[in-house]
Amino acid sequence: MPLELTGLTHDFGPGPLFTNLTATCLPGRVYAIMGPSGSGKSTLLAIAAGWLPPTAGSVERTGMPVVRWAFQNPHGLPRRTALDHVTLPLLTLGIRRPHAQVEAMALMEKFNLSHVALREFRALSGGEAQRLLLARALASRPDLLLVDEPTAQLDPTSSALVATSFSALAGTGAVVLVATHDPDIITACTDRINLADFR
Amino acid sequence: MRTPQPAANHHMSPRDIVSEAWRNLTTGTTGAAIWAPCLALIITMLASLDIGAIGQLVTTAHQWNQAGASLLTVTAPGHVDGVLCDALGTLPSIRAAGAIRAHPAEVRAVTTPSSSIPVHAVTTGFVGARAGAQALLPTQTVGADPGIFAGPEVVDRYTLTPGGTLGVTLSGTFTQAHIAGTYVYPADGRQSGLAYAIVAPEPPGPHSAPFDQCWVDAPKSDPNHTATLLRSTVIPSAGPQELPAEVTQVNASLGTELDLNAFNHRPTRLIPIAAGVAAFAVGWWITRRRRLEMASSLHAGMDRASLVTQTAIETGIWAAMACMIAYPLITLSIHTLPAQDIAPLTTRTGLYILQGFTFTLAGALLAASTIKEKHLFNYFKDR
Ligand SMILES: Nc1ncnc2c1ncn2[C@@H]1O[C@H](COP(=O)(O)OP(=O)(O)O)[C@@H](O)[C@H]1O
Ligand SMILES: [Mg+2]
Repeated sequence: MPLELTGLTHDFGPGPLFTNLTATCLPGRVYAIMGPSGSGKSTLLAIAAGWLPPTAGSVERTGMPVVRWAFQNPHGLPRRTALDHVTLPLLTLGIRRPHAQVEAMALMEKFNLSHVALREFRALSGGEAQRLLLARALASRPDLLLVDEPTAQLDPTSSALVATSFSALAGTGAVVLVATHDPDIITACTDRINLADFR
Repeated sequence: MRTPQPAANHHMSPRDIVSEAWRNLTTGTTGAAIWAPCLALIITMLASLDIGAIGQLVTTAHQWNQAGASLLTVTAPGHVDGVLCDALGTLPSIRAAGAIRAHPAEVRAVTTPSSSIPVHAVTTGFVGARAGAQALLPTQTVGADPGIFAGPEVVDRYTLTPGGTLGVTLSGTFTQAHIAGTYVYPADGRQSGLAYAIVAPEPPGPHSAPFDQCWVDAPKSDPNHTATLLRSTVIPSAGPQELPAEVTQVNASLGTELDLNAFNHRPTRLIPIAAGVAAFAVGWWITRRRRLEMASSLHAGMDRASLVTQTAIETGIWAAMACMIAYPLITLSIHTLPAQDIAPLTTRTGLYILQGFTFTLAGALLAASTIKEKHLFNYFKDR
């Protein structure tokens, strides 16, 4: 089932960020939400997630029970290990801890995080923490993944890993929305939503 | 095509919840090493303040009882029913009761024949000579031999001990009086007369003569109620005029009434409420401090029930640690108090500990129930 954004307008007060934004986001595709800083990319993601009611318009998310974010500012449990973070969603899916840990390690390997698996969350760099929480979001096998500025703190190699993971998740039938102004990421996306078109 | 998804609100297994809680405790995620001592300190300080104040009340009440201030008497010479008076001692509101009458016998110790010792006949309740009865005056006895009881000044003068004897002349005839016991009657402001005296318990009987006074000890009762009971032991006179039946306090030097409501009026009476609020606030605040990481766990797929259970385990453990620190500290502070009776204070301590534990837990659980995934979004919006 697609994610339907219909006639969305949002205004925090000083004037609308976007007006009458309509888009159908199909499963299996990766959407780049484009626009400069402060243009309302994060706001649109929050509206799409259902965490922020829009000023006008509606969001249809039927058949998408699992919605996950990969935030720009990752927030975890400072003293728990990186591995524990990725293991948790697998435990909530009913997977026993030993298997969950193996699966978590495999996921972390895809993001080049194996070497920090047993490090405390607070000891990770910004980029490592961001990738870790992206790996954790993927562990939940989301139907809708919202990614906010994934490459702001990443080197090109990591950026490429991250971009690959979006297509891989979309390949399982999920909808992926990526707020970004990184040209490399935009190129890796299958579709574009430019906020400048909805002023 | 997508593979079928597990239910979004899948519950974690109890084993995983326990293991998550345990990891949070051992990694320092819960901050137990800091918060348990803090909570212990708060509980100890508040509880000690209140228990100190209660200790003072206990001491005051103890001194009051010790000084015989809770003893009331009715005086109606030759008109007090001894059996009735003794029976008052069996009422729940009366701790002990006994009647007394001046004895005409002339008793002189053989060693000091020039001075006589006042003698009083008493009912068995007066000195607790009846099995199971509480003595009106604290007594010291050996066994349950019949005999006389000596007052403190007689004991001092003739160096008497319970079970011993005193050589006396009774109306001119020499006899060895058996000392069944001694009684306590200090000169602390109470009616004099019994300090230098001996009392002889008289077994109750239908033909026993009436007494002069009935004494009762009712430390926890309304004095007016006690006075009414006392007056009921006075045998009405045959004549037309009403008998004067005066009710007096054996020791009025500490005031006529112990404030039985002192506990409810104590200056620290609101501390139990304050301690409950404080414990709740600590539990709430310490859990709220972790709202972002908890929101993060919720967003990782942890369901609400699992999060609340995990919080209950974590908080239960560190709050219990706090209680294990606070309990001996409060107990220690109790032992620095001059209170003779610490039973009510240890009960209070238990209540404070129990309250501290449950209110901390309640605060933490309420906080855990109100944390939302959306906090993550608000956070980065407010950055
Ligand atoms: N909760 C809020 N209240 C008021 N203004 C907000 C709030 N959140 C964001 N904004 C404002 O809305 C604008 C768009 O924000 P955002 O969606 O974060 O932009 P982007 O992600 O494109 O950088 C910014 O000017 C921001 O300051
Ligand atoms: Mg943004």
